[in-house]
Amino acid sequence: MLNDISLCILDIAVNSFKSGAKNIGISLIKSDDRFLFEIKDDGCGISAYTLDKIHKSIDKPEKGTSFNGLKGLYKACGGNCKISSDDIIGTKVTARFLPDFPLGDISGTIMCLLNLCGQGDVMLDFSIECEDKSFTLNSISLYEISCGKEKYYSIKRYVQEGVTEVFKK
Amino acid sequence: MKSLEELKAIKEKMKSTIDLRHEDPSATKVIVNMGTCGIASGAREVLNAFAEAVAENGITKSVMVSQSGCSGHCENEPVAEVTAPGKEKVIYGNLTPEKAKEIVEKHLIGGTVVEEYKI
Repeated sequence: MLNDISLCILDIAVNSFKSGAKNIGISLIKSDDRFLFEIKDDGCGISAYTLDKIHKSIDKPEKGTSFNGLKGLYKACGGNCKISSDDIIGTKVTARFLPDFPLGDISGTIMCLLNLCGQGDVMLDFSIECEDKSFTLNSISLYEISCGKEKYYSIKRYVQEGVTEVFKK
Repeated sequence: MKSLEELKAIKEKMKSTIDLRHEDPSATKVIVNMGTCGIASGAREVLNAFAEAVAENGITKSVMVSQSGCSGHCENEPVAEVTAPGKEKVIYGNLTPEKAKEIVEKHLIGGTVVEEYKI
């Protein structure tokens, strides 16, 4: 099962890649009483028929459906999530968690998504807000600040330091 | 958080400064299964280990690390498939980051399939 927020985000965001999205925006906001994340993409979207099927499968689990990720998310956040989609404009998933729900390895999730972005074919915009601090990154801008053989490690360091700093008390 | 329209505008602005990677038919593909079963079993760490080892060994031009959905090998997750041009696909299972790095060194660089991790 998906035991933390970082895995829930990854599981939903991977679907954005599968949907053919070229732009993916993810935001994670932490406040005293909640964690809130929003993932939106410009992929192929989900038809009203399929969306209805997803909601029914969440309410009444059945074998053979392929919406385990969304079911897992619903379970993890106690049903506090919303999926909206359109065949044309893509999909948006929002979820709210209690503040004591494990955050998990957010840096690892960001690195994994950056690895999937390739070099500019998919653009990822990731933002984190925690009280008065924030950290944002854009997959395309990252290629500007990095260079040569050290590229991978410079990006990894940037992500790890940024995430650590934003959640530091 | 930026709107999708703003993201598209940034991408358009940056287009000239980035080298878009197109799928190279001569590249070896490492596909990590990233279905929910894979992610729950550690596929994230395995994909990151593959990407890191590929970068570390300077073979990013000849190896592409990507993802796919569940391939039905749920009991052996994390699973990755290695497909080299003209060669049979090799499926590795029960992977760890350490095993992924070993596969990069022995299979992707050395050309020898790591039999003990095959499923």
